[in-house]
Amino acid sequence: MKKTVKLIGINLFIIVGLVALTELFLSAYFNLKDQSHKEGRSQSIRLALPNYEGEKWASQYWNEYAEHRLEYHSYVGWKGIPRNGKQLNIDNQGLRKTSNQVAEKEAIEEVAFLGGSTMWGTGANDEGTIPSFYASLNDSSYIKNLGQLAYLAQQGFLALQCEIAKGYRPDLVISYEGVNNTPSGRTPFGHSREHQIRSIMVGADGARKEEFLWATKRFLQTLSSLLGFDEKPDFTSRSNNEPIEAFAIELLESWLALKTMCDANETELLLILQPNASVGKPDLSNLEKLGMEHFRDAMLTKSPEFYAQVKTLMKENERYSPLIVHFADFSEVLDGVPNVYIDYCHLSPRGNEVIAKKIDDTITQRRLSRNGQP
Amino acid sequence: MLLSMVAVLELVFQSYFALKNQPAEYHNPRISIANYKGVEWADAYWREHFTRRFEYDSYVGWRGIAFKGTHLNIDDHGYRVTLNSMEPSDDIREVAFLGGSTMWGEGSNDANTIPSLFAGMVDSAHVRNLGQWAFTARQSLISLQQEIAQGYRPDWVISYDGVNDAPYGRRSFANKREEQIRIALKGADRNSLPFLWATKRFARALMMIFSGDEDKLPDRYLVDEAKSLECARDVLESWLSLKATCDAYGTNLLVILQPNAGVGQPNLSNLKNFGKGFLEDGKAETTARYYDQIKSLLQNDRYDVLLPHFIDLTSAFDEVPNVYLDFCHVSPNGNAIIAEEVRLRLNKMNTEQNATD
Repeated sequence: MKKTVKLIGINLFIIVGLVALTELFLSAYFNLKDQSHKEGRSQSIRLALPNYEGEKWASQYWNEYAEHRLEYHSYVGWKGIPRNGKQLNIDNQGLRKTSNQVAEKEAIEEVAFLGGSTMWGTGANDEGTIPSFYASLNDSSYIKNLGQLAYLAQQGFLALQCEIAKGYRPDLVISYEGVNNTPSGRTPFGHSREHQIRSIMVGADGARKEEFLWATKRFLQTLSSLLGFDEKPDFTSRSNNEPIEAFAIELLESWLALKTMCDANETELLLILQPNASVGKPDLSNLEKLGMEHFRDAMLTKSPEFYAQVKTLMKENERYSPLIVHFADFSEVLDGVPNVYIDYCHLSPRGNEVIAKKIDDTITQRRLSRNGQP
Repeated sequence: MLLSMVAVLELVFQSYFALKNQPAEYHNPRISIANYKGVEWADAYWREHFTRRFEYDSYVGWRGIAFKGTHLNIDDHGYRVTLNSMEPSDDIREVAFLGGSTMWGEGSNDANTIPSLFAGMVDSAHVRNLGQWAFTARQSLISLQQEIAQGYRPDWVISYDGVNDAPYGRRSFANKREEQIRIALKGADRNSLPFLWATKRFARALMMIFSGDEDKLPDRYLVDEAKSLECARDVLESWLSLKATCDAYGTNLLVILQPNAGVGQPNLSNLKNFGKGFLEDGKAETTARYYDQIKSLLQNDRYDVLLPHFIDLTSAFDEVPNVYLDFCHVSPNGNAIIAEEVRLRLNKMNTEQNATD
């Protein structure tokens, strides 16, 4: 009897051990597959671009960029974790450092920049971000860069709404959007990490069960999908099933909400449709080294249609027509300019400088025309 | 061998966390209080209540998962079902109720939530309950903004807040689960699931216990004046943004400071057997001071535009017996009082508006 119990016990232990080992192995595989290899390779390729030739800060910047981390924040989803670096600094509020010419208290004007990683400054040191270049052109303005990695227009709006609640009163708000709102791996009215965070939080709602053996289940799902027993995972197919118009409406609704808030606070507003590698006539000769895989992203294939929808809706739908006076189409601003793109949307400082100059010119012209000057 | 042990431990911890989060229906003294004496649906309701689930949702933080029960139903959008006698149409008023679990209806079956009771009191209105468990006023604001972005156009918005914005159990300008979600997402900031999450979570819990870093009850409600003031501003700023949103759509707005066991003259005799579990030391005092700050700030230039929209219902349950189930949740008799107060106020505002027109 003792022997039988012992035998059953050993067998049970071995089975549990094997299941656990498989779970550990698979979870390690899924984690590593998605992370370091892809990121490390992408960074070393970008560093080798002609955009960074002779730029002494670039190597240090990309090392610091790899160490940059995000943490969850209510309402907006995430923000940067404060860090002090030589080329990349994040303040205690989780915001990228901007090289301002004037102290906040002495500034005549406060300007808030909203956007995703292109505004945050992926590919540029602190001095080379769009807000820093804009600050160099406006020595009496104090600039805040509220951009964060992968932010949608809605997150930019919510970030500003929270800052206003805390007492921030910008005179001018610049929202630089388009790429992250393009349909790609998410549902409209949800941010890009909703699925990931939802998966992690399963079971932690105070009542719901944890997802047990998630890696094993995911492996079986993948296997089933590979063998053709299953359709593609829901997550990746979601945005493909949604009409592009729904994503265009999402962007315009975020801008409308931003306009409502700016109007209520008597804040000037500029809404920009940002350039990317699939609209206009960009010079992408510097990216030949990267190979085509960087351009197969769904964002690139859908971007021209998405941008066209945004502009059509603004023109033809009376709900969105109040946005026109605030709108500027920058999708062709980088046409023919060499060595600016470092991938499908991020720019090296040279590109950011062009954008900052264009923003400055646009604001100056609009203010002059409002004041009745040509 | 070592690898096998780590793997087995990970599995054991996963099982532990899975079981730890099971429904807590076995510890629900609320079912036995006088409020539910003779109420036939109560037992079945509380059973369903503890099987309801939430999931992460962008911006607002979380939302209910669709659920079909006998007394508790959550629709496909994650909202508590309201019993309406009329379908939404352009000919009738659309009314949206915002708030936390008190608006959602913790302690009541679908027929007895504030929105359902209100729907039964008025003609020509369709009511939606956008309340969610633990929502702050800012989460409610964002929830409404998200609904508007998707085409929802209420004629009236009623925001019922106060308790979840109180200065304990959260940072100001944050939701109540920020720290929990932040810890769970540690190491997963670059689109992956955290490696050995259960082992890490166990280790963190162990460290918290040994470092005495846990949120100890007696200290929890010792909140300094500055934080309390920030939280008061937080709720008022949320209401201001809500007003701006409503103004932009020509929507009428009512903002309500909700009652709770720490303010007014509540009759808590039905709860006397529960001990400190429901009314911890300091909670009532801290809430009362924070409510005073809200009312004082409302006189400030920035916030006085809210006054025509504001009702203070902190004394709505004064001396009424068998209303409270805990610090803030109430049984259907309490919800009926609130629904009637809202109805009276809306009638008054309508009359004033008609006179002005």
